[in-house]
Amino acid sequence: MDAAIEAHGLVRHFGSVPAVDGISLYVPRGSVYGFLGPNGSGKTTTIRLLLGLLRPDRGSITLLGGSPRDASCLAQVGAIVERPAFYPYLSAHENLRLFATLAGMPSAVGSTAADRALGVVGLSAVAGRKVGGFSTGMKQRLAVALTLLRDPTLVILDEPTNGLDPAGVVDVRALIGQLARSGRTVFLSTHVLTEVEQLCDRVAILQRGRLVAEGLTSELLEQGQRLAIAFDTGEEAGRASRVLADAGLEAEAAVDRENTLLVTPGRLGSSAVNRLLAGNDLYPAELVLRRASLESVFLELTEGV
Amino acid sequence: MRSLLQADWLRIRRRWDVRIIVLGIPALALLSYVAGAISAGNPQGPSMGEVPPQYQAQVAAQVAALRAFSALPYQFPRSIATMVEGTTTWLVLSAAFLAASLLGNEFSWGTIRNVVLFHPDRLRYLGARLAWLVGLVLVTFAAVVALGAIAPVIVRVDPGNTSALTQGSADMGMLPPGPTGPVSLGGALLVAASLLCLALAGMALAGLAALKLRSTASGILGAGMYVVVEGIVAALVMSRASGDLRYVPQLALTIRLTALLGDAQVAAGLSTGDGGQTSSPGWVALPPVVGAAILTVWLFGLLGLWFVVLRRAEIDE
Repeated sequence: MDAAIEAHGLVRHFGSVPAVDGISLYVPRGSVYGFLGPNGSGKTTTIRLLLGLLRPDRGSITLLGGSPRDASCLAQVGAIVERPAFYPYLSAHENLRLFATLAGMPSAVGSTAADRALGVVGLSAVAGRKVGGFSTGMKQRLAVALTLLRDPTLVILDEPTNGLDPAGVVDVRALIGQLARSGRTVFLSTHVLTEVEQLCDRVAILQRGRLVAEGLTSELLEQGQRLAIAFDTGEEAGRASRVLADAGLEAEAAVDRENTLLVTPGRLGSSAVNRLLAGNDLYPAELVLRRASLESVFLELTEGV
Repeated sequence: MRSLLQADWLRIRRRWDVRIIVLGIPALALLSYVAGAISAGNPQGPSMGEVPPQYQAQVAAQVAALRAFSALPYQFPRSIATMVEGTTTWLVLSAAFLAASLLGNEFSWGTIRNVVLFHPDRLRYLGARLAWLVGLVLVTFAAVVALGAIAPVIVRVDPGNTSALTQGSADMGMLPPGPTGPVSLGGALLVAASLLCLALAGMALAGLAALKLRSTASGILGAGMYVVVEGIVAALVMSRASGDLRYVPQLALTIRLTALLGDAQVAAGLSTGDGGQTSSPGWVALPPVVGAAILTVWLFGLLGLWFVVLRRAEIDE
């Protein structure tokens, strides 16, 4: 598949501290790509590198087939990077029109594009108000509007729901869904795991400047799923634990239920585990596949790294 | 480039600091001129009733000379130089503030990031901003010069008997030091042009500091610190150096600007050239052409550095 973003071996230090340490990314066109990581893990620095705002110490970046410093490539990109930045003494509409003019749009086209973008994020009613008086949430919506101004092919969003009220969060998530359905590539950096779980088909997890996991969201969630096997007695559970260990499967006692083991079925699958137990005269009272949340996968991958 | 100039117009036209400077500086210059003109129109002198009869003719001549002398700066074309000189400090500070503000705010507001993403050609962007800055300084300056040209019509100061200045009254030691002869239009404009150089240098220096230090306040403070430190170091070197080293302080920006203004005032007949920095121990006079060439290198060097700094800047705002 053609890549919207391709990065190889990105390294960037601030002083002697590596903010980004050997990251490689492949973001397919048309995908919604989640970029996860705790605060300070290097997400924003990576985005700045991708957009050509910072120069990497090492590594290469291709954005929509070109260089991130190439005007024709950047013309197809809409981006929010960290906090929204606008001219406080200009109105929302004037701010957007200014950037439209800067992008070379004729005045009438820029004005129409500004109206449209403000309408999409629900700011039409305050289009004439000075941005200096906007709340954090309104500025965040305006930042989203700015990303849509040039009808981009690739949308890079760094914490787009920061500062939004619950209704705003829902709106922005719906908007990201719309963008994805319209065939655009969305690169979503966030630490809100539910956002990624709901929206992204691929995900990368970053910790201390390094990628600790990357792949399809469904695969990552599968990696974290557990088989909960409940027995009637503790004696049965103990015996089952030994049988599973002999078969190379690690079982741990569930903390939320008595006489229950949690097993990662791995390649074997649930039915093979059931057969193995039955072959040893062990018959579970209940056998349930517990889906992992992205949160548990994330914590497992990032804790202690 | 056109889109950049248009975008800058959208940005600049709503800024109160720009409006205040472009309209306020000429207003301030006019106010200062009018205050001076009113004062010059009413010179204080002794009442003739208090003067013994044998001295009355001499005192009357002195009063006439003082009146003519005080009125001289308010006669066209010298009024142009008077108007511009009266607002030099404000004009230079305003030019420096404008540059620091229009460049530094992009960093403190973080808007430079959007600018670079919407128009990655940083050099053209800075070129457009420089064009607007120079334009704003020129418009403000032209307004001050135009006011200087028409002010004598609005506020007329009668010089009385100007021949009193040439009848030996000045030799009596009662007049303050200063020129008593006429000033040509070319001379007045030469002084005005030298002050414009001062304003442009202030703009270039503060703009560079704002770009490098990434904020308006730091830009103004940085430029101010540079001027103070350069002045102290130049004075120190001037007082200690000997041989060819005496020429080193003459390369300093502030020294060259002051020398340019001094040369222009002497050429225009507004100053005799005595006093000021030229009387400092260790002062070496450079030919005006050499001085102007050094200043040109400074101005273009500072503006060139704007582009180098922004081109190499990493945008982490």
